[in-house]
Amino acid sequence: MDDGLASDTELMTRLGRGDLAALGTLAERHQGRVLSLAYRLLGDWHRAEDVAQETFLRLRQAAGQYEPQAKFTTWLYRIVHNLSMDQRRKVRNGPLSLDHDLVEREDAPADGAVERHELAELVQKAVGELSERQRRVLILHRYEELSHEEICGVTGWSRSAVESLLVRAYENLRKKLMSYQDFSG
Amino acid sequence: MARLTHEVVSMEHAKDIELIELVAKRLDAEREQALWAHLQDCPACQARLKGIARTWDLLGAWQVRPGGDVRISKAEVSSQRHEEDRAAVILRFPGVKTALRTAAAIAVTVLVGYAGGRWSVRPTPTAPGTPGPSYLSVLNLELGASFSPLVLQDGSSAGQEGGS
Repeated sequence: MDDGLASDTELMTRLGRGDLAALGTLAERHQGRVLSLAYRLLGDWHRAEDVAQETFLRLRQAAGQYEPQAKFTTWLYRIVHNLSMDQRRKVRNGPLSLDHDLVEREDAPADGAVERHELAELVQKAVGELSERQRRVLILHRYEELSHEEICGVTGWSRSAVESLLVRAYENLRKKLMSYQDFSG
Repeated sequence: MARLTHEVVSMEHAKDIELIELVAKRLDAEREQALWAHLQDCPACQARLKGIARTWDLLGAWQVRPGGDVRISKAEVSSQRHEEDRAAVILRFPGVKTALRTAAAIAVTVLVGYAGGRWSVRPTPTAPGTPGPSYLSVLNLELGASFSPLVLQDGSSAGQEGGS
């Protein structure tokens, strides 16, 4: 079967049998979102890349015992989330690093993109200022488009806790971004 | 009855979490319809919805574009597998690890002791043909070249003791 057509579960089964090509397909399919999630949680590209790499090595390790109980991506994001939190704990005393690789990796913004670029930095800063738990659920909800149930699966928190954190996160962001909202109409 | 239920629902203010899901377009059709019905007649909820929708849109400005691929080479996975295999062997024979550590510790101790002994005992200068101390002949021992630095001379020993 073409690797590109195989489901994630099929690829995990093949990986469990030692087919490393399946790992390549899984990495190709999910690396973008894994890296984005790790970056948003950590605010640092280098550490995000370490987390992404470790995530796929964990897949390789766990493939033999993998049993598809939850959605594959929920399970995958849980690994990313936990590894990212381990990374965060290592630098807990420091503020959330907001590196600007995003800026460096893109071409210099054109005139019309300057405002958008500034807004992106403002939003990133506002999200970075949320409490740890609010930030996590917001990223999973807004950027990874996970349902409440999936967020519960990734974080291990109850549904009521997730919903409460989401409401507070959006409310805090509304207040933080209010000046920009007023300014830009 | 159905109409009454709808009216009751439409009189309640929408919950924040439902407005968030409405903006995210993740509500089921029935609930979405009920919320829109309520919003038509509720300026307070309309204002809250507007704030959430604006925040949602602004958050969309933070787009992340990973610059490169995650480097997962076959070599890395293979080396990881070899490490796992090696670890598995050690785990199957847990005593091996302890025995290796003990042997290494003994070897290091012996080497350090030998090197320390060589450098800490100074050779005693003796003239060629000088007879060894008398206690050697009493003990029926011969003074070999390799042991000569370790043998105390009768005179020097007595002199050192007397001088101290």
